[in-house]
Amino acid sequence: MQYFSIDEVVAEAMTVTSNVTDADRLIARQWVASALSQMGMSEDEIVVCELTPKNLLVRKPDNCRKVYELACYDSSGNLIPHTFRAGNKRIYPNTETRTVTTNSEGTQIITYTTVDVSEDRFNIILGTNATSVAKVKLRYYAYPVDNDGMPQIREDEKQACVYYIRFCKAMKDDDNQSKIQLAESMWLRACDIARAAKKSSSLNNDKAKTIAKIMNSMIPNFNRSTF
Amino acid sequence: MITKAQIISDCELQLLQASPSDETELDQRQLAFWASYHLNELVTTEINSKIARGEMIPSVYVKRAACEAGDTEDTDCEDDCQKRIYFELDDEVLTINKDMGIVRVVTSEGDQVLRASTETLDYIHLLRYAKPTVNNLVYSRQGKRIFIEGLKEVDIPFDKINVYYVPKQDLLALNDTDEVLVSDLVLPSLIDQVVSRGKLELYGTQADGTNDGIDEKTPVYHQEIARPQTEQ
Repeated sequence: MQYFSIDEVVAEAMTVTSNVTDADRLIARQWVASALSQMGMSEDEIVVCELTPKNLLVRKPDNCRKVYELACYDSSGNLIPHTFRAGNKRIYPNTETRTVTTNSEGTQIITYTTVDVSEDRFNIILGTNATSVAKVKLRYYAYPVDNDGMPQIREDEKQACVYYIRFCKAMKDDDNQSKIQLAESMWLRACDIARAAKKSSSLNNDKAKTIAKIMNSMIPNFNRSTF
Repeated sequence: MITKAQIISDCELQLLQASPSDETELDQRQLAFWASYHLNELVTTEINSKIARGEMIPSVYVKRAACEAGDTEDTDCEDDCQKRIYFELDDEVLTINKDMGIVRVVTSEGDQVLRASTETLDYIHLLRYAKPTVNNLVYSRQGKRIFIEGLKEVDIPFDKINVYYVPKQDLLALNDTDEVLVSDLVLPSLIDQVVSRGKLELYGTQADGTNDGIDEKTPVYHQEIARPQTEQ
């Protein structure tokens, strides 16, 4: 997938927009970011990272758009089960405790109870029973960003961003209603196309085969080897 | 390109009917002063009308100030007020609509610095992707000073800017051989207006003979010239 810088997309939009000022060019960068947030996510934007909790808080990466899944580990790398809860405060008392057992060879086996995990806009919040969590592996949908933290625009999103800038510029200039409506309909159509393109690009051939295999496995006496 | 001496000489010759004299009442410095303010007025009108029509600023007016070094503004207060970083131009900038007197500002690396008015800076600072940063420099102008937002004080020795601008021209300060930035469209009007003003000084204005309160601006020749005295 080819990506474009935010400045390149803004510059292209300026070539098809009239009465553009420097202030419009500045604000257009923000308009592009707004347009991107309305165009859905794609699986090639999934990123995995490892984070360290501090005071039971795990700061989400700056480019985090949506958390896909996470896994908690202790300092030895053992998986600690967790339950995701809505909200960031527990309303029921925590009755679960960590259990330590010794096996036949005399080795201590530590069994962790399920820890509470919740999230807010900026952080993943670990419950008070999660003091043994040393690191969190996070899989999340990311905004593709460049080295300066500026969003990058996929090639199938570019045209929609250009139309969104034209739409916002028409609203800013308080143009006549027909012009604003035309710009809006162009943007909405381009946005739909971009969303569809992103969804279809997420579904590669291998994934489609896997889904088909699962579906076909439910059919009795079906010879999957010929599929 | 036409020089200052050519403009002044042409006006002088027209006013004095091609008979300049050392004893003439008309000082060349006065002609230069009239030419300056008519020139700036005409250039402003021409550029404003072109901008309104979506046309480019005529390149003849655009001047470049290269590698301007920055400085921090001295503030009177002793608090930790944010010191503003500015670059100062040598010339005054012509006052054109939408502050288009500054045509383009680029850093020495070639990155463009975008313009923002002082009043819009407040909300631009709140926009995450539009706010001024080292990679997204923004300027606002106050007089000859161009204030850069997004630049840090430590970057001043390393960052220089090039400014393309339309200068306010002062013919009094020019040497005779210096070129005057004037387009072919404006030059005839400039000379006409300077000559008209010169005629007003040399020959006076028409008296309000009809007593209708209308100030007749058309210059008329002095009585002595209009109706030369017959031999006594």
